Formats: sequence, C-alpha cells, structure tokens
Amino acid sequence: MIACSGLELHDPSLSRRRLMVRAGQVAGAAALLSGCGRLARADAGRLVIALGREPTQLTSAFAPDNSINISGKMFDGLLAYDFDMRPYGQLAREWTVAPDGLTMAFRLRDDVRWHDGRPFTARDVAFSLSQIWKVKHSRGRSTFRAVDDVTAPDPTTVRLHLSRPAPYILSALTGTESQIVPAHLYEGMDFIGNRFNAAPVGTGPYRFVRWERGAYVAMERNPDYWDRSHHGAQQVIFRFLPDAASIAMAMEIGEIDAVTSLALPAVDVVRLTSLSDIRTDDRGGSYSAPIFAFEFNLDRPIFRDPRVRHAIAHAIDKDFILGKIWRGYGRVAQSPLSSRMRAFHSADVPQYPFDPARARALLDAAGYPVKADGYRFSIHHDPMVGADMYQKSADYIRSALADVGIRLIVRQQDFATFVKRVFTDRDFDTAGSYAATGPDPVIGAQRFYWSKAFKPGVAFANAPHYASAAVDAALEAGATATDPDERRRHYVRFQQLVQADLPRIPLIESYEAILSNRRVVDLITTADGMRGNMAAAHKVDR
Amino acid sequence: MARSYPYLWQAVRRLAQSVLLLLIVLFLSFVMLDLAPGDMAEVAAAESGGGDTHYVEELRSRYGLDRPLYERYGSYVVQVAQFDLGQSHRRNAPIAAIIGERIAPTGLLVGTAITIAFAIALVLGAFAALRPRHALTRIIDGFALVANAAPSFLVAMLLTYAFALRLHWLPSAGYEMLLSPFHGFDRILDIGRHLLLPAATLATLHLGLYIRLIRTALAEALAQDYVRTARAKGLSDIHILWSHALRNALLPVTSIVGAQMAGILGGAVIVEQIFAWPGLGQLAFEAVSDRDTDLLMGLVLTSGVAVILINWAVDLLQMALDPRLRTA
Repeated sequence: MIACSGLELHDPSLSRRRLMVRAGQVAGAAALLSGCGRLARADAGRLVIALGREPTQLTSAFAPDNSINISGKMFDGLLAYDFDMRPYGQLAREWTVAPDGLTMAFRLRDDVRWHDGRPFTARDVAFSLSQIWKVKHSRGRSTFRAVDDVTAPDPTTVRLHLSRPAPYILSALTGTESQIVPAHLYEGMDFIGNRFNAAPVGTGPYRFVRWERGAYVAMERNPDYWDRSHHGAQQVIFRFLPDAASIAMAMEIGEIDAVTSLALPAVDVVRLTSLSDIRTDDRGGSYSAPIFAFEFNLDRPIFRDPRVRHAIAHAIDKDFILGKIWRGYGRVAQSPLSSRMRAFHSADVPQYPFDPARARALLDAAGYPVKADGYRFSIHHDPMVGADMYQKSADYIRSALADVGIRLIVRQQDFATFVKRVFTDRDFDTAGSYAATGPDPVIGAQRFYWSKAFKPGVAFANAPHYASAAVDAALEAGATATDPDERRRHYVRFQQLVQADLPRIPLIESYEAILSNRRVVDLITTADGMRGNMAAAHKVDR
Repeated sequence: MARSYPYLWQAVRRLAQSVLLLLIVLFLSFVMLDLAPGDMAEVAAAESGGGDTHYVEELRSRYGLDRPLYERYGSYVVQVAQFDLGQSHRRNAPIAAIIGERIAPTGLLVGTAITIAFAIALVLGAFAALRPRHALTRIIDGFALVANAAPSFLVAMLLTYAFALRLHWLPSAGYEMLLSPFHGFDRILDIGRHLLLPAATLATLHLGLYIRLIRTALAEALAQDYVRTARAKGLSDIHILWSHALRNALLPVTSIVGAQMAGILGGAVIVEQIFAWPGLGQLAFEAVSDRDTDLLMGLVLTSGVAVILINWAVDLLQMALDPRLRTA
C-alpha cells in the first residue's frame, strides 16, 4: 500500500492510516496496484507547476506572451542573470563589447546539442536574431533595431555589428526574451505557422514530451544537457488550472508543487503560506521588476495641471495598498524604476507622501472647490485586468479619492476591452497599469515616458501621452551611453524629471512570490524567477 | 408519403427548420463578436507586451481581420458550407481538430451529470409524489429548493473541500492523471474518479428542478382515472407507478430537459473552469478572451448542432412515448 503513495500525486508523508483509507476508496484498487512501484518513483521525480492560463504555443521566439512561463525550460539563452541581474554565460561561454560599443562578440559552447541531436552552432543564433527577433518579435524589433548585421565566422563565434551603442542588448538575452530556435527546423519556413512551435526542439535542460490541450504540458529531463553539474527533476509538468480557488485547493492538497502568487488572490497566498509545508521565495523578480501604477490621460484638460496630479498622489496611501491588498509582497514604489534595478534606481527623487489635507489644498489652489454634491469633479478609472489585486486597489483608490472630494467611477471590463479602450481608443481618464520596468530601462520603463512611444493602438506604451523634451533627451542619452556610470546619471535625471511631472504615479513594486512545497529545492536560481530554466529544480524526500 | 412515414416527414421538416435557425444564430454571433471591443490582433500584441503599431497591423492582416465584416462573414459561410471550420490563427491549428478533442470530455460530463440528476430526481420525486405527507418528503422539498438555489462555484468548493482536501478520496481537478499510464479499464476508472466531482456539481444545479418536475408530473398522473382503476384492480404502488403513471409523467419532463440542453451546456462552462475539465466550455471561455472569432464561431456551430440534434432526439423519444404525437 505504501508503495502506492505516488498514485494520486499526493504527499507520501501522509499517515499510513489515511493511505489505507484512500487506497480503499479507489474503486478497483486491486486493478490499479499493478503499476504502483513505477508511479511512486514518477511522483518523487516529478515537479508539477500550476498555471492559470494555457499558452497558445510553446515557443517565445516571436512573442513573450504567457508561453514564457513554460518555454524557458526547453530553451537556454545566450546569457542568464543572477538575482542581482549580473549576467553569466549559458549558451555563450564569454562575450566582449568593443570600447566604442559598436561590436559585440559571443563565443558559444561547442558541447550543446538540440533535442533532436543536431549540434547547436553560431548559425542558429545569427538566424534567430536576424530572421526572428529583429523582424517578428514584439519587443525584439526595438531591442535589436540597432543591430545592422550579424555574422557567424565560425560555429562558435557570433558577432553583432551595431549602428549605435545598445548596451541594453546584454540584458535581453535570456532563453525566453530572446529565444534561439534551431535554424535547421525553421529556416525557409513560415515561422509563426511552424509545427515545432507546439512541440519545441530546444537546447534546454528539459525536453518536450506531450501537450495535452486544456490540461498540461509535460517535459522530461534532457539526458544530453551540457551542464552535468545539475540534477533536475525527472519530469516537469505545467498544469493549467483556470480557476484561482482551484489552484489554492490543489496546492493545499499537494496535487501541485509550485505556483506564482500572481495566479492567486492575496488572501489565498497568505493562507497557503501559513501552512507548514508551503514556503515562498520572492527573489526572482529583478529581471522584469514590475511596477503597479496609476496613469493619467494627459489629453484630458483637468490633468494638464500638475497640481491635480500631485494632489491625487498625496491622496493615495501606498502603504495601505501594499499591506492590505498586496499583503506585503512588494515595496512602496519610490520612482518609475524599481529598486530591484539597482544599477539604475534612485530614491532621491520627488516623493508624494500620504497627506489628504495637502491634496485638498492643492485641489483648491488648482481651482476645483467642493461643489454642492460633495465632490470637486468626477472621473472614470479603468483598472488593469488580470489579477485580483488590481481591482481591489482601484476600489481602495476610489474611497481614498472620495475623501479628498474626487468621485472616481471604476469601470470593469475584460482584457480585450481594457486594451482597446485605453491604448487604441484612448477613451479613459485614469487607468491602472502593471508592467515590467526591467531588465533595462530601454526595454522596460522607457516606453511609458518616451514621447516617441506614444502610439495609439499599441498596448502598454505611453498611455498618458506624456511628452517632455528633457525626459526624451535623458532617455535617449541613457540608451546609447556605453559607460555604466554615465548611463546611471542619465537615468537618475530621468527619474527626477518624471517624478516631478508625474504623468503616472508609481504605486507598488510588486514582488512575485513563488509558493512551493517544502520538498521542492532550487526551483528558482535566476533574476527571471519562474521563467528561468529550472535546471536544478527537484524534489527531495523529507 | 407524409401519411405513410409520419416519423420521417417530421424529422425532415425539423431538420430544414434547424438549418435556417443555425444560419441566423451564426450571423448574430458573428455580428456580436465584431461589436465586442478589441480584436484578436490587439489581444495577442498586448499579451506580448505591446510591440509597435506595425506589429499589430501585421498580426491583423495575418489573421485576416483587415477585411470588412460582410466579406469575412461571406467567406466564412462558404467555407462552413464545405464542411470546413477553418484555421485558428492564434492557436495555429485546424478548428475542427481543436474542437474535436474537446467534445468527448464535455459530452461525458454533461451526459453523466444529467444521468445522475435524473436518476436521483426520479427516486426522490416519485417518493414525494406517492407520500406527499411523509416527513421525508419535506426534507426532499427543502433539498430541492437548496439545490436549485446554490451557485455552482459554492457547490464545487464544498464538494472539493470534503472529498479532495479533507478525505483525499478524489482528485480536486483535471480529466485524468498527468501522463496517465493507464489503458483500457484502468483508464476508464481513472477518468471516472476525476469525473465524479464535476459531474456531481453540474448535476446538483439541475437536480432541484428535476425533482420538482417529476414530483408534479407524477402527482398529476397519479390522480387520473386510470390509476384509480389500477388501484381498484389491486395492483401494487410500484407496479402502478412503473407501468402506468411514469410513462405519462415523463412526457413533460423529457421536453423540459431537452429544451434546457443549451442551459446545461452553459452551466458546463463554469464547472469546466472550476475543475480544469478540458471541454468545450473552457475552450469557449478562452476563445472569447482571445477574441478568436473563427474558433468561437466553430464552437457556436458545434453547440448549435448539438442542441438541435438533442432536441430532435427528444422529439423522437416523445413520439415513441406518446402515440398521439405521431399524427400531430
């Protein structure tokens, strides 16, 4: 009976009595017993991770959509980044940047094979960069715009020739952000329609096994993986559980081993972490460094007056949002760049502490007295769609603003409607935003503030329609400077300028906590957390 | 001909009406989806972190969304008339295949739920009709009321809490074991264990209504003259119920169950979400979020055909149950 502990993917540390009861309840237990030994082993070596939404494909080479949650296990990147965003080689052994910043050279490993047995070479990298990232990838098109030419002089050397320095490229080389696909399976074919997008052939520590639509994606350990120092799980399975309450339940039962806190309501995160066999890890957030923000539509005359924007910032108690809604998983944001981006973040910028009296005074001074109905003015708010916290924060902000005499009408809609309303139709007054500011300001935060990133029809760009020549200059100088100290100076100036102007209010630096069963070790080891390759992740017996 | 094959004639007439109905449903769905804000290209781009304007435009032309509505509807109908549901651009797969693999799980879930609900309702409803003043009948009434009113997510949560979390008897979600090693009978058992909780949840949603329907219909039938005659003959309650009253009582019940079919498929959407059941309902939910019009049209068409076929089958069943309907 004990040998059957793996039967239901439950924790085998359950009492013998309970196991007996359970086994007794399995109808026709005798029929099932035959395969028990094999199953028990499969359980111990099997890591099951829950995802709320199923991706539509398993490669991220063209688009960093929710495929990135799975794809990075099957594809290594040129580089990986430790928790402090220091790069180290994955498929690249070493890399050099010419002093003028116009040439980047990567020396590749020569002992890496694709999952189909073919050798991985410089040609794959050159092909992926020039044919996919630079032309098809939603973000890569701008990240790699400065790359004029890619050459592969020999199988282990890749050279990038740039039209201007682009130091941020070195932050964009993970296995999910800039995914290298096998040229021999993609070259000369329709990329987006390629059948390998649903059954990937990669270089990563796990090989694709099966995609059971609507249920799970299964991978197994790659026996030919170049890095033999790691002993990852025998199998890694991503299970799709669309209902958040079901994820919490499955986590509590032990049917799944890990899940990101973003897939759960904060109350469930708190409840689950109070259980003795579940722990959390929030180290893996410095790659995307997301910030939750409140955005103004600056095309609305009322928000052209900076006093109104400042007043609203003073009216919102960020500590309340962090403590009561985010349940402590994060930090109050001090600037538009997350403090997790240590190389660029500065807290020495204008701050707007919670001060309703000051907010009222600013609104009075701006010429918006309280009218007979008890309000100064009335505006609409469209909360970001996707997580429970966005809506709850909007509800709090509504009551906080009511306190200073602003009526905030919160609208609800699905993701598609939100995107169309805010970014295409611009039919909004204020909106919620939850987006990455990293890994480099050029890839992350720049698009919210750069005047040239204002493009109706493009989601998560400059929604406020903010335009400042000084900010543009700081951003553009920071993007092309080659000296790290000089880059930092430009971005500190950028942070000071936009925090004074405040086209959007950074509220919370969100920390994505990974909830996992205590038996799981080394689940996340890189700055991109759950998106990393999980080469060392496995379960131990306790 | 109509005289000599009344079954067939009715069936053909029904089918013709159904095709017309389906065309109207298709057109309305197409227009409504087009009116919904946002399209598939915008959603795909937003989920990929934005991109630039060209990126969205390229996706839009790839998805064929740059053509006007009437043109898209026209080519869609022509395509469907050739029994081709087309390709889901977002999922990169033929729609018939995507939908095909979801039909069996939904059919199993809905079929089992209705069977469970009907079987329990038959027993409880019959008891209540036979013994209207019994104490148990009050309990049955109360249960029917509660079952009718309870929202599915609550029922699901209670059942999962009890049978998966506390007792560890059943898995909390899913269709079968991950990488199921089972074949044949073992696999059926495994799927059956996963099926119990979602099917019980869906069954509960309809149980209350069925109990009341069967009870009322049976009570009415039991008051008829032929039942009094049967009683006078000295037949037992069970015999009267089974051979005389039930056949008449089931007529209105079958027609309501048939008419409810669309509603049951709708209820399955929520139950499938909660239990991660890989069926049509879950797929429909994703197709709406993705604004994957072609996939959603395929689903509307599939469920439309299913509802029509089931209603058709119910009609035939009723004709079999009631000879009077055959000449109507």
